[in-house]
Amino acid sequence: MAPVFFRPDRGVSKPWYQADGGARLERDRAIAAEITPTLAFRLDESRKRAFLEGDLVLTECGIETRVAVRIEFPPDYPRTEPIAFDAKKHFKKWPGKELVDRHLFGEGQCCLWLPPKSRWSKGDPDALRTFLLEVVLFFDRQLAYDLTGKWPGPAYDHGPKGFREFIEEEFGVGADVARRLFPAIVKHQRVGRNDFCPCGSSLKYKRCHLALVECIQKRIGTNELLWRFRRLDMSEV
Amino acid sequence: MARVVKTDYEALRIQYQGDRVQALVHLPQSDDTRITERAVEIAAGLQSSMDYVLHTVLPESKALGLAVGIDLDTTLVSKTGTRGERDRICIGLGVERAAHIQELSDGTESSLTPDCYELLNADLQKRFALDEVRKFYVAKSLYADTFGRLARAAAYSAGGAVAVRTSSKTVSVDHREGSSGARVLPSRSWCE
Repeated sequence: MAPVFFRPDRGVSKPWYQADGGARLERDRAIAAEITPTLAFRLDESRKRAFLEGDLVLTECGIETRVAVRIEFPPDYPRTEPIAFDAKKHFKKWPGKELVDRHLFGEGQCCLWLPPKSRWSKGDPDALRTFLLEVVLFFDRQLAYDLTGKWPGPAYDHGPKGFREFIEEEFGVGADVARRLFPAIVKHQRVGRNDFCPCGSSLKYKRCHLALVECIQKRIGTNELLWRFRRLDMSEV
Repeated sequence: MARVVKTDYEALRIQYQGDRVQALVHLPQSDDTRITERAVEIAAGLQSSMDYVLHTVLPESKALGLAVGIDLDTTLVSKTGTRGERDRICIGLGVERAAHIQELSDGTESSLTPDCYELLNADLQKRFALDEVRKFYVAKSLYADTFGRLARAAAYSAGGAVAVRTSSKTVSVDHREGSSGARVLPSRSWCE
């Protein structure tokens, strides 16, 4: 089964699109009409879920390309960002490569960004605008990938290696140290405050990298890390 | 077709030969790669006009297809005929070869000689496949959008912002400076 994004159950009783008298939904409808006018909201009352779906029509030199898109809104939206899908699996594997190389999962789920680098801002009433613009660029990049077999633009490495890359760059940690600290960061390895630091410095953890590890965990989110890497083979990192 | 050659791509329309248009790309001098890629771009433009414009406005033309042949060579270009009724002419072996592979191509195919294929950049080469029987390279579904997308792929890789513009039913992305629309810096992608 392909992985899905972390979705904590926060006990939402009323669907988000009714929670504020429908004001958020109306605002999001207006944003969708502005950015992606061919996508329309569909409310599934039985499951209390909302979807934005339809054919995204990308045009280049007057030539149109239609991509069926489905955007699923989580129950705790807008605290959690929506998920975009290539609904009819328009984009296939490039010969000799994997689907993830074009940042898609098997079900057509789109990986727009590394979670800690998400541009989703839960407090921003216009957050959907940022999201939809990114979705448009994502599919435009897919069309470029179809021609070259190379993902156009910068990308993190896949899976936990991408997280490690992020840690190295954002916190200025060397590659070797990041690799050694990673099991502690994702709580695969329990390290006591007075144990030796996993970086191999022979210093106590509390006097070496404990503060940094806690800082990284805070930035990424402990639940996120635990959920993603609970069954991870550390040799993959 | 002549308008596409002359106006859209600033190449020379030499002459009509029945329903064939003979086009010449000649500048910059000696820049063989650029000349060849320009010729391929014109081929894509002609195919787009055929399939996306002509077939739309004249549905009865859908049975018609366009075959394009491309070669690179030194040629003689001149005008001949009586004063006031002179025709442009283009003479050379490359003209013969281009005409020959065009005649061997099916409608919707854009074809070029192996020497021209070698001059193309790697991404454009991926659009063509060698036809072992006919001994030249053939591209199907080569349309003008290919070039815009390849240029944008390079822009994405360079890390610049692009503009997203929405009309009533379509969305377009433009990487060029000064293009209108919402400016967005693409995210650094990742996958599970």
